[in-house]
Amino acid sequence: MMTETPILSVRDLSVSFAQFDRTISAVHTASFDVARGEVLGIVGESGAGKSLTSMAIVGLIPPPGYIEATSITLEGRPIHNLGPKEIRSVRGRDIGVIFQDPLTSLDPLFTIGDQLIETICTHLPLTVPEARSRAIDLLIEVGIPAPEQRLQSYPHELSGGMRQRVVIALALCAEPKLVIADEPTTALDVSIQAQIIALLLRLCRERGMSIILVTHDMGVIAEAADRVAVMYAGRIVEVGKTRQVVKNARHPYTRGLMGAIPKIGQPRTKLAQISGSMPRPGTEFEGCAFAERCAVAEAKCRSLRPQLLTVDDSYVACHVAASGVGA
Amino acid sequence: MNGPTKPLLQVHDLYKAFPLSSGISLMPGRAKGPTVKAVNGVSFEVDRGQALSLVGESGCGKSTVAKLVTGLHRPDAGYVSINGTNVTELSGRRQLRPFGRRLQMVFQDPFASLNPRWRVGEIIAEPIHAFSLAASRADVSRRVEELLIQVGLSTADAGKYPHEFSGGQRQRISIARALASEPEFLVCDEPTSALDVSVQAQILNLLKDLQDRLGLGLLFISHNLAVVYHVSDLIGIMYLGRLVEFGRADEIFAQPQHPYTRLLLDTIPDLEMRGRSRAPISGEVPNPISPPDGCVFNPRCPLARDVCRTELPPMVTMPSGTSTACHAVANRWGTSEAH
Ligand SMILES: Nc1ncnc2c1ncn2[C@@H]1O[C@H](COP(=O)(O)OP(=O)(O)OP(=O)(O)O)[C@@H](O)[C@H]1O
Ligand SMILES: Nc1ncnc2c1ncn2[C@@H]1O[C@H](COP(=O)(O)OP(=O)(O)OP(=O)(O)O)[C@@H](O)[C@H]1O
Ligand code: SF4
Ligand SMILES: [Mg+2]
Ligand SMILES: [Mg+2]
Repeated sequence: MMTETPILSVRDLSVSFAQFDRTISAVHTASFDVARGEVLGIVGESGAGKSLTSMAIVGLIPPPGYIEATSITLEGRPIHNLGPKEIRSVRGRDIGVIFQDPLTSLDPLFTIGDQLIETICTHLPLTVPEARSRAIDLLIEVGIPAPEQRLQSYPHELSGGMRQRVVIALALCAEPKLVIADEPTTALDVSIQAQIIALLLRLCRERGMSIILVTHDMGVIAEAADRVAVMYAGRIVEVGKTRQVVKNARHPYTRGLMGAIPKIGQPRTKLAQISGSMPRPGTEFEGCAFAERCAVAEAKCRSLRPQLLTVDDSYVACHVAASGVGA
Repeated sequence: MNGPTKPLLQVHDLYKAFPLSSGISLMPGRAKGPTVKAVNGVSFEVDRGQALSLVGESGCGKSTVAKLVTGLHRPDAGYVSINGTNVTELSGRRQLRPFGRRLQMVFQDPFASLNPRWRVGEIIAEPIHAFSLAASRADVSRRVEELLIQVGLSTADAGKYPHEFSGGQRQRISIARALASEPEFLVCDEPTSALDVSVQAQILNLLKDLQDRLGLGLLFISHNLAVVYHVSDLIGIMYLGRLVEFGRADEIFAQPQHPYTRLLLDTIPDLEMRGRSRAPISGEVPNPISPPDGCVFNPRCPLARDVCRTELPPMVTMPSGTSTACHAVANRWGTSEAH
């Protein structure tokens, strides 16, 4: 049992889209906690619901989408029923968000300096010159060269990775308690990536900041995350300590994922891929969503949906993994 | 004109600088103020069926090279030729059109490159119509379906709009669109960074197959060095708008020569979790507004000597076939050759 109140606690979160003839559900009853100072990684198939899960926490599901949840609490305070104005202030101040698409967070008509200074002034009691110098410090921390000159650049004048770093600076500028980072380092070279991860981990250590880190890069997960949640077809199918999940995954999907990673020095033949594709939201089926693609599926897997159960010190939603304990 | 000896793509001494915004006016005066020297004399060739990857720090000019190759930017100097035809000098729709089909690009930013008001099927069918690549309506939809399946989407997706897809799904839509015109050469700027590793494997296998089967040429940009290792025949390492090392991928991964390449290969994230901590490359971050004199890497280079701060090192080709622009490497090779 947790002794300390987690920074974030999510219970039975679902995200659905109302369509003219039916409702499709894209995230199903996801539950997880993020402790103070913890980095929770979320990995999974493209389209599995990682971004929707993270956006739902901060009230950013666009209509006709809507969320349902037993509760979402930030330091014990419910945030899933807040009005648009209140959730907006939580979003800038308590929870910093780094979107998967850096361009959605940047306004093409304003310089990055305008945008950083405005955000800082909205959330922190600073004067414009103070905010300006804080903006410059942040740009240095995320590794942007010539920050004073770059404050005057418009987003389209920056390279992809520079824009991404400006978005990271924007998310960090109000000193949030929790940062939701959706693919924060994918547009970055390995050196800047190392620098950004070091910065994020330092903020966790020094300020007790927590992070939800959504990424496809298992190297980044291995390096930065304390725990990892694996999503498949809208559900969390495995949660465990990073080392456990990366080195010794229990769910057959997670294993397949680890096997598809290209590695330097390996023969450059065809990469292993998981055959078939993930069922889309709205597809009706019984049993495990991975059964069609799973090499170890049994009859039960096609008829009964596996629940997320404790197996040793991690959680897995798989009939075979659950029965294989001790075997 | 299409002699078999001509390389598929030839890039000759490209230069491109952008004026730096002053922040005062929306349209800053040209060439007056400081400029960002994004690309500074880049040359390379790619043959049919070959894949060249450009690797280098964020902001070093990779996307700018890609856009110069595809004609989205005009170079300040230098030219690009395809099958021996200089396409930089072509102008007007009529002249450029045939090359539009042969040369396609997958953009770093898939969100911005898809028209939000078009259905996915229409987006992918557009090049098929534009270049009259299918005889009938039925052929068009068959081809669209084939492309959707090749990139791991489903045929039912043709009727949806881009906003109904996740980041990685949109990336795959733009890959399908780029492949729709059956290009001979494909420029891919971070094509798989939004994809999970299993879908990534599927896309990389597909590209490899098109290379082997149809001789597709690739210019590939990725920060993921394991992906680069897997995809590339050739690698160009860029630093601050210049190529500092160029050669066969297996050679460069086995024996990186340039000090920057060596540091870069040392910073690959560690999947083995041996607890090795990664050090970012230390020293001053490169600034394309006022690049240093001499070797552009000298402020961060552990081997830098006086000559590095004054003279630009030329590209020297070593016996392994790798070309490197570094005084220290040239020196070492020069002495070892004397033995
Ligand atoms: N506005 C929408 N309308 C209908 N379906 C949607 C909408 N937005 C997302 N979806 C669907 O919900 C699913 C989950 O999307 P989400 O963006 O969370 O995926 P993801 O796990 O972040 O994937 P990626 O790794 O590719 O970014 C996808 O299958 C997507 O098609
Ligand atoms: N349209 C533009 N106007 C002004 N400056 C630009 C423009 N496009 C690129 N630049 C500048 O040119 C330099 C090189 O940018 P480029 O996008 O080529 O980098 P990159 O190597 O692709 O980086 P990344 O890995 O971050 O995508 C950067 O300093 C950038 O700010
Ligand atoms: S030329 Fe000099 S500064 Fe440049 S990489 Fe070689 S040793 Fe380092
Ligand atoms: Mg996403
Ligand atoms: Mg780029």
